[in-house]
Amino acid sequence: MRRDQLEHAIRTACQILGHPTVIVVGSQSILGTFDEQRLPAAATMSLEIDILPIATSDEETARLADLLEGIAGEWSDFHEMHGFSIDGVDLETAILPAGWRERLVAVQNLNTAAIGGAPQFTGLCLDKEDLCVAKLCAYREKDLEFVGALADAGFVDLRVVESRLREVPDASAGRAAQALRWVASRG
Amino acid sequence: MDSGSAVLREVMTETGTSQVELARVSGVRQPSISQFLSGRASMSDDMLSRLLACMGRRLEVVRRPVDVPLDRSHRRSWLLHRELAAQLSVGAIRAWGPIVEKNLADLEARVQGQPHGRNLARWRQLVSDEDVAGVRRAMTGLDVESIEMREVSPLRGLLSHQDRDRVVGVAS
Repeated sequence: MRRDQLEHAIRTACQILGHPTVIVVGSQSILGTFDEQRLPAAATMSLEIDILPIATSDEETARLADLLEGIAGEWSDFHEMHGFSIDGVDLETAILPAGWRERLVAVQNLNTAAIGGAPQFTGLCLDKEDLCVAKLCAYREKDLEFVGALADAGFVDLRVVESRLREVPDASAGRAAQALRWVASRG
Repeated sequence: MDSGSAVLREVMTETGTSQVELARVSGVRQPSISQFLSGRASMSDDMLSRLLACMGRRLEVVRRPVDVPLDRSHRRSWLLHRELAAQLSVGAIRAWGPIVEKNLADLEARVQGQPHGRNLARWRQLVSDEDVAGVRRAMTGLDVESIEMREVSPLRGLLSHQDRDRVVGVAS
């Protein structure tokens, strides 16, 4: 996955939804901070981009996520044509620390704009350490590989990750505790 | 981490058994035990049973159907692959060959890290072996390995658009 494909996905998702802004969650959101040429090869990434629609209710978020999936999701014409897909997701997809919305990284440029240059749509990508919190709370092999590779390359600060793991919702405290043990094991 | 890792860790803690001690008694190498505990290596029930026996425990496996709470994108992916699985046969694998090969090459060039790389190698092997049972398992399974296999599925472009849209509609 490349940075220009992330921008393409942002533009497409906004056009499908008729919204000026979407939120990018999942590992591809790291491309909002670093382009693919800088990322370590061991940072696990696939060819799907998780997009969280911005809506006023969970029901509306789910409806919009399904709309995205129908048009640009797995095995869609869009997927066939471009080689990557857009997954519409809801907030249950990721466990995030308090304050994550204030730290989102905006991606907005000519490549996120409609034909003619306007409007320029915006993709709000998870902050890199917030992304690592979400990945560590999910705690799958690919998540640990992803965070480990970013940490080893000095792209994320595990002290910040550790601090934010203490700020996830109480309902996810168990997952955060497991993640904290993993961080501690890395010294 | 899978449930086997959790069971092993629990019994080691309860019995005060160290990795070194368990390795000595069981004959299983300590690095392997470490990998089982961290979830970095999968552990069969036979292996878990063997390790538990060394600590005075017997493994009891309970069979019951369990609903698998997939998130929306993983559920859609499962539904799509399940639909395509209805067409699966040795002949279908052969007919799908050129598309699967093209998709595999594309994925191998653009996907990075683990377990994606390993799962792509597994897809390639399953298709090469014309292993219908293995492919079907990867398409329909709800175990972690199958779910992760579908994250790098090379089966794009094989289900008709009509069937694809119907399945996605059902999922929404």
